[in-house]
Amino acid sequence: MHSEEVVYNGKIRLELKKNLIISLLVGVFIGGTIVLSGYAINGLKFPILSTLIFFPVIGAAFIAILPKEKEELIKFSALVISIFELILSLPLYLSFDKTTSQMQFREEYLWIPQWGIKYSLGVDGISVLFVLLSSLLTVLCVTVSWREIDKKIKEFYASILLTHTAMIGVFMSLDIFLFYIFWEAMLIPMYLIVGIWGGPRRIYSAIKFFIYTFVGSLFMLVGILVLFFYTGSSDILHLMRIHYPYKMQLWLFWAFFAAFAVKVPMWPLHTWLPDAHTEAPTAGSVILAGILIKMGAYGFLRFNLPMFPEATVNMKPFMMILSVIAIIYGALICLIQKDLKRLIAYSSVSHMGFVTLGIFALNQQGIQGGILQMLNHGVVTGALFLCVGMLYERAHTRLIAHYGGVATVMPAYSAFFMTFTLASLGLPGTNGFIGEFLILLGAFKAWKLMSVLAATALIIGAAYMLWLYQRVFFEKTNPEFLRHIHGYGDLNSREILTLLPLALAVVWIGFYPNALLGFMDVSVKELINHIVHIGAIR
Amino acid sequence: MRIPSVPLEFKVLMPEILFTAFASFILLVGLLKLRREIILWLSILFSLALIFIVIQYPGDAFGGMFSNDFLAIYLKIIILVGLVLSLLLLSSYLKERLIALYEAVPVALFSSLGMMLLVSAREFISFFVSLELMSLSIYVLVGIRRYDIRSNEAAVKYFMLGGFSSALMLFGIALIYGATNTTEFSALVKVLSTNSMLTLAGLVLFIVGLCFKIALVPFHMWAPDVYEGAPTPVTAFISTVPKIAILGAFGRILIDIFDKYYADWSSFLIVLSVLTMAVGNLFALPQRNIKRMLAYSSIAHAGYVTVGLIVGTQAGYNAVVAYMLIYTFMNIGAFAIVIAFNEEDIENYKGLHKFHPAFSLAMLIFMFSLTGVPPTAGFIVKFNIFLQAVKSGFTWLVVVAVIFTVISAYYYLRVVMYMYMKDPIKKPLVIVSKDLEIAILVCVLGSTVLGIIPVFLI
Repeated sequence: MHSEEVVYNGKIRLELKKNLIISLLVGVFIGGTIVLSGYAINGLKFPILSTLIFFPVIGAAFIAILPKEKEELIKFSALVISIFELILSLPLYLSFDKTTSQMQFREEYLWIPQWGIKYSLGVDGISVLFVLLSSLLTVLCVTVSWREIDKKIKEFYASILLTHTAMIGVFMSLDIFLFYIFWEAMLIPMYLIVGIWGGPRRIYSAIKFFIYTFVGSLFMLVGILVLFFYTGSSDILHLMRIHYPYKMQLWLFWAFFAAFAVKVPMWPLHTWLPDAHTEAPTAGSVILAGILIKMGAYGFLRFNLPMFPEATVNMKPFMMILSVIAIIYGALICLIQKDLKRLIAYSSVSHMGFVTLGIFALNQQGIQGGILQMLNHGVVTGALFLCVGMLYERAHTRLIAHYGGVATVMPAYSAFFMTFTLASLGLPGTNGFIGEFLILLGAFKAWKLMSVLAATALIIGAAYMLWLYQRVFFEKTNPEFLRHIHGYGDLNSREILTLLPLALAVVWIGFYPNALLGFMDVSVKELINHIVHIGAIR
Repeated sequence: MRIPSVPLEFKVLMPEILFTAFASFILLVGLLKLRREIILWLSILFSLALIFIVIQYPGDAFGGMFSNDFLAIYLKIIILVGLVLSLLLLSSYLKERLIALYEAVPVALFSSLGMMLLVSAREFISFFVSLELMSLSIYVLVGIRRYDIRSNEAAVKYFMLGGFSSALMLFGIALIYGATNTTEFSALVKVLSTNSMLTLAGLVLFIVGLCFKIALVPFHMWAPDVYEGAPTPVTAFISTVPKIAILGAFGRILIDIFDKYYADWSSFLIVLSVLTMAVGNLFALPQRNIKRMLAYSSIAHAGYVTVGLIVGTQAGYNAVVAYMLIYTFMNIGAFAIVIAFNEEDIENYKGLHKFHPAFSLAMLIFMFSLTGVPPTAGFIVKFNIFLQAVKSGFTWLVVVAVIFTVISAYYYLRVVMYMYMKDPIKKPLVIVSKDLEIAILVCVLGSTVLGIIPVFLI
């Protein structure tokens, strides 16, 4: 091809690109309005949850049949599909009834009549926010991968959409069998995301991730089989109402614990996490940290607590100790990390320790704080991974020592990073503070010593985050870094638009936590009432 | 001699009679040197038509010695589906190697005929004759590449050990006959006494003979060599379809007739099942040759399926049958990909995704389905078997099976990893033919759609 032709083609492509953006965005808004008005007219009889689940699948199939040369088209399709999915999920926020602990937006069809297994969906105050968070983060994953992913683009965006489907499916399922299907189905695209588009040790990390979670999940499968056999039902709501013999509760508690503790991850089952988070592409890390590991804690809330309350109460001290070990151990390890991404990955271990500490405090404050902290962690750590990804795109190194003086070159970026750093270490006024405060309050009621020990990690947390910030953003500018940054400069508008919603969420939740706490208030009360009613808590 | 006064009911055998006529017809037509497509598509269309014919003729014949009941029909349908898929695989492979299709196709048809008779047989003599019809045809199929030393070696090995196992089984049948004075299953149920040493010895020999055929450890030694040496489409066929028939017949005999000896044969099979899962999965781990790996994987799957038999209930048996249906799709599918890529060394699967995204995606689906990861159909059927096992109190056996499932994930995923995550070594010479593509498409649909909409469960 002659060079003039290349230039000419390039111009045409630019022109096309502009037209595409405009037409696609217009399409999204028109479609969104139609859907929203459709909900309003239908009085919410519309199968909104199924739509949320299957729309990305159809989207992924659509992307898969696009010709692989049309990269821009693929990216825009993925963006439009994910934005549309976000718009579709808005009614969950807008018309959710906060005054009831019942499952809402219910859908139920008989699926496998031979076993009496139902395709049954619904959300309550505990799960609804995760669906929204997942929809939001998926959009951001698409935008952040714009330049980072340069091979097998089609497969990448299809995988992202399929992961989203499986994750929201986990939060929506009200049938234990369906839950397991989504829980495991998520492994396939995630394995590919880490293994194909990850860093240098991606294959090792992907296999480690898969095997770890698969082992845990299969123990849960045995637990599910036993539950299913014992009760003859796979309906989660029905299973919750049954009182199991104590010995059985104990066995089942551990079977489910195996799956959830690996996913959270709780110490000492956490070792897959630093590898997978570090080696995954930015979008993969965001999904892992943002949603995927929350599935474990959600599992505790949905299964272990309500179904095996006596076992839970008896295991409470043990769980709290494991959580505190994770909190302190994770924080201490962060201090010695040389790798940016690995540091944030280990901070996840510490933060998720807070979540499980709150959950197993078994009181209103603890559990509410735990759920809020999950959302906070999804926002903040997701944002931090996005930030690191943006930096990596410029300098192609993750080592902290290779940076320095970034603030002088990229002021906007530094401001964003500072916001998320402060949220991560729990400064009052940010969302991190609210979550950690509630958890510590709940834990203090349950076991004072553990709460005190956990609180010390806040100090270590401040130490490693601020030290990280100092080493990367201040001090002398690294000439190596300056050379790399050439031609990129500060954040572009795509990147700012990616980070802005998360930064706003940090401040918004920080000043008005009731916006989210209001959702879960009644559901958590009901959960605790349920445990008390069984007579497990005296 | 008393002539039985029961009606013979020949029409129940109509599908088998038609099948025999057709297979002989294809054998004769071979002389005419017709175009290979005609022979192939004629056979495939006939096999598909036979599925509908089989459904039309339920009932018993020869005074209950031959029975075409619901489960037999179900098994026959799976056998015919497996046969059709294998024929599709066979066609493109033989074309590539200039092997006459009119030799292989009738042999495959006769072998399937033996299987169809096997699942309907309700009497030991016809059971054994059907089994031998099936086995002898398979020995020929394994050696169909006459000038290939590996194919020959595999055929001889298989023939020797197969003959040996048949002899063992026949001896077992003779002992059972000696103890009960009957070979009819329906009569056997009535006269079978518990605690007869002779019957027990016969039963053990009978089970050992069948375990040879489905390659349960420690009677599996022939399997990897034969599976590796045989032409790949034949491997796909023999590692799948005969197992359907044998497990189908095996399970019925154990559960329906020898339920008085449940404690004996179940404890025997438990040992074999655990050993099979262990050896199959652990030996699959270090394999460098994909056919050998799939051979061990099919041994491992025989182990999972045996768990369904050990349960000893009708539901457990139904789970086994359902498993074999999905296993047909995923196993033949995996072999179809091996034929398409024309590579046996797993190393050479590196980076294949770059050149053949569609085939790689199909292989990915088969591998995840063989592992048993939802939402593939491999999960549903495995879940089904585990569910029945837990129901009968074999939770510990399920835990064992689950642990080996995790181990199996490693070698199945390695294939996916090589295809998707490594850089290619060389560009593969891919044999793309319409036949093969159709077969792969059917297998992909079978192992995905049936996982989401499991209509096949009984």
